[in-house]
Amino acid sequence: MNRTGRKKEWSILLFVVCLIAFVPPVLTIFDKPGLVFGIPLSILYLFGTWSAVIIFTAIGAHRRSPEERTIARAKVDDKSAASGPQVR
Amino acid sequence: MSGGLVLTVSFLYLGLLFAIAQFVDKRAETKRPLTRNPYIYTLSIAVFCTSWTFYGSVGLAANKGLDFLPIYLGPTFVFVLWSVVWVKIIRICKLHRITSIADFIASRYGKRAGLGGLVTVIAVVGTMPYISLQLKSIATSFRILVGSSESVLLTAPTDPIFFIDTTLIVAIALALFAILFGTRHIDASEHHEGLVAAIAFESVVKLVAFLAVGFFVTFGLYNGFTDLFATAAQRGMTELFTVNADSDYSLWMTMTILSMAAIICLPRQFYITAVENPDESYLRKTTWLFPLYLLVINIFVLPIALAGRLIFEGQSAPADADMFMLTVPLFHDQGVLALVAFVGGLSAATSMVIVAAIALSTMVCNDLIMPLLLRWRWLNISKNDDLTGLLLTIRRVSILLVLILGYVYYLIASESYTLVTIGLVSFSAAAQFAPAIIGGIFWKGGSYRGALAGLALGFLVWLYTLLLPSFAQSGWLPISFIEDGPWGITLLKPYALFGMEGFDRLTHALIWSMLLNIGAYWIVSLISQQTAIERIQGTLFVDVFGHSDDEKDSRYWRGSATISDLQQLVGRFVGGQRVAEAFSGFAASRDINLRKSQTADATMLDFAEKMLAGAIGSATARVMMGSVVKGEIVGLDEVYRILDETSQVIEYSHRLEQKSAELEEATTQLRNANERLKELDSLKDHFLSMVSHELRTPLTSLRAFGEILADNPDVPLEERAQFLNVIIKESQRLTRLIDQLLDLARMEAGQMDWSLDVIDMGSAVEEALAALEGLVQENSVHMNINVPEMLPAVRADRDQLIQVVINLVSNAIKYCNKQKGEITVTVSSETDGVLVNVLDNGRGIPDEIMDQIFEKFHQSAGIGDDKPQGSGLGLAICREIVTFLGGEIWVANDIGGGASFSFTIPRADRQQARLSAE
Repeated sequence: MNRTGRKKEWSILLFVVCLIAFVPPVLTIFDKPGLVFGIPLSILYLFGTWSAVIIFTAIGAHRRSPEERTIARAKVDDKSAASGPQVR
Repeated sequence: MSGGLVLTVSFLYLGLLFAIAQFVDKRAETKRPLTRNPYIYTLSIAVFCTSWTFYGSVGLAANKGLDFLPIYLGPTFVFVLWSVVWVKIIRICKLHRITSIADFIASRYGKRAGLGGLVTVIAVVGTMPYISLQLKSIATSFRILVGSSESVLLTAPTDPIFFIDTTLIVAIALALFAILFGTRHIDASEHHEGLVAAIAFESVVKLVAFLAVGFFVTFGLYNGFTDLFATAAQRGMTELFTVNADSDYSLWMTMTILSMAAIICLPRQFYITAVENPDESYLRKTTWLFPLYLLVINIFVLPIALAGRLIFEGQSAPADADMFMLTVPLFHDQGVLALVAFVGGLSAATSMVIVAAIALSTMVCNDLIMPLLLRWRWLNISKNDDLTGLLLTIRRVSILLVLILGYVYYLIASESYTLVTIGLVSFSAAAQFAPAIIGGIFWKGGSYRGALAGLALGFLVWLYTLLLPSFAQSGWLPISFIEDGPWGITLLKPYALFGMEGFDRLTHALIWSMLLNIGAYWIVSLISQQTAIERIQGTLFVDVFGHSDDEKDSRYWRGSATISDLQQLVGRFVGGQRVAEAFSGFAASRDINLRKSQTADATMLDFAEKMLAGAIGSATARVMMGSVVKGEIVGLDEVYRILDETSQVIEYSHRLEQKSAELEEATTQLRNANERLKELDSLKDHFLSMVSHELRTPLTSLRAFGEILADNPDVPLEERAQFLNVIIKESQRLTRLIDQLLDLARMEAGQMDWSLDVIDMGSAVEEALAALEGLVQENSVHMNINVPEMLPAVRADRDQLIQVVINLVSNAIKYCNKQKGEITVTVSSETDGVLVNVLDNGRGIPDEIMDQIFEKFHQSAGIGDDKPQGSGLGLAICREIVTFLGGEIWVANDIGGGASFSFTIPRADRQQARLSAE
């Protein structure tokens, strides 16, 4: 598995964002019973943020698909092919 | 609803589960199992959602609002960190063949049986309330469903059905089921495909059942969410819409922390996520699919709770909110839906009980019973040759034991509590493992004594502040234990230890237990000295990604044992046949021959120990290995040398070498580039002076003749015509020179437009010679032309090729013998191409300028008395063209005097082959 450090750093950032979003100082702002679009604000906030976290985790864990990887490799090949004639 | 119907459905459901497991297991023996994919893996992790989620969340939401959510947010946070935490734990489990959480902790802190035993005790005692929760929910839901009267909806009847307590029947049935499921294989680190498939199926069932009830309530009883929330708001239930109206979030945070710890540390979660993980890469999908499952199953919790409250609010007695999942559909006469909900609850409970019982039984057997048996009844055990039967029996008995313990706790304490309260007691116990696990995989310094002290203290505090008080509240201990403290010492009151008041019980317990647990783990680890094996294991766990490929750990055993000793030892626990197969497979993979009497090397010993660990746990495996391996283990100093110095120094020097090699390479490249620059610089100077010189010669004569004509208007007419002729000729020469310069510059810069085509060399040469006809006649040179009929075609730019021939022949005309000029042009076919040769009968080329003849502005000038006749660029252009076309050009002096210029152009078919080969 390709374990780049950058990916880890992103997931730690996301974790910290979670902690901030779901504990008091920030949570108290949204923890209100008032109805927004007929749904209590607190429920909208909690489930909405939760969904966002899941989406970002999914993006972070997404592995580059095989096609993308071959494209990346082809690009490298192109470069070496382009530099070929100059060498010759 | 009749009890018979409910019972039939229940047993049909359990039978279906068993059929699924059996089918998948059978299939797995023959082909690649269906269950090996990230989705099944995710669903199996969803065993996290138990009766607690199914019934308890609704109950909590009906009383406290959104307080049920942190139990699912915590796991989401942990899975956000999958690449930091889970990948590491799973890799360690795979490498060391870890079978359970007790095995993991024992293995990390030096494979000591004591620690594994303590972890097992904590896990069993800690899971007790959790299992009782499941039993309670199954029994209560069953009674509600079969009870007929209206009052059943409010309080479930407690009188026994079928003369015995329903809960006991449930417990025994579940125990039998778990035994049938979980103890079919002896190697606990192997994957139970059937079990995982059944658990995944249960996760689907409970999700579908929950959503069915949710849809019925939200869209059947009300017109969607907005209608439901509006009705609830009208009836004054807005306090349920928030986490906490009075801004006290301590319980919220405690539950978040506990659930974060629980998703890793609950024995069954650890088992299903780490031990049963078939492929590390599945985590990439699971890491967001599992939180998504949690989110979906929680969407309808609050709506169902609100609907339940709205229905039963007017009733005389308070309804049991934990059972709203059943009572709400029953109230609206939806018998089938209630049955579906019951099956969903049953699946939630059974999946938890099965997995927990299997995980715990492995721990009890490997980390508690086996070490004790080995210590106390060593002789008897040694006599018995095949121990696989004994191992299985121990596991089966411990499954039964775990269920019975859960039942006992249910009898003693759980009747008076809500489901969530019971569950959180279990979470707090599991959380005690967190410091030892998280510390163990990130901190090499964590020691056996530190882990032992931390776990023991944390567990004691948990016992004192959560478990014992629950006994006291049920009347098994005097209630004064809670109110006044033991023996009337108020400082020791379990819910206000040392006078800490103002927190709820759970937060209070978490603060004290974690304070002591982490504190002791940390401080004792710093004080105590690590033994060799602790140091090794610590390094192996923390640096698991660095050590995966090499086999440093195998240097631990330095003693000697024969192959047959090892085979016999492992065979006793795993089965002789399998061991023989595994050993020969191992020998084949390393390309060696195994002889029975041969002394096993370190790798072999390590292999045997890991295999043994897969069956009986790492701590016991080490003791067993110690019984056959004669000789001492590596000393502490040596371990430091092996692990720290060697690996670090090797790593360090390796990096240094790499760096210096890189530097060297860079230096060489720089030096080369510098040389090339200097060369180019001098070439440029040379070129400029040459060009200016070449341009000046025609310009000077132009100017001279022009001045003569301007200054002397009376120059005779024929003289004037002669002068003008010179001027025209010189300006033509100037134009040609500039054209050639431009051509050369373009070729060198690679900007020339080439029109490559397959052409016939013979016709090209003939065309070139035809163009030179006038020049030949003017100089009265004799031409010999040898062009054979059948020439292979070449691939070239026709115009440029003609240019080359023209340049060479006109050069030859210039330098051939003036009196009796003779030029021979020969075209011949070679193996790889076509060779063209131009031979004159002049004076030839002096040796000293032979190398530079193709450079720009080099002429055989100075030899003759005539002024230079060409631009000095013709041969340079020829070389550019021929080189571009893939051929070669060279010059030699003929034996009979005169210069012989030759060039080759590759054949079209050969060139094509070469291009395609590239």
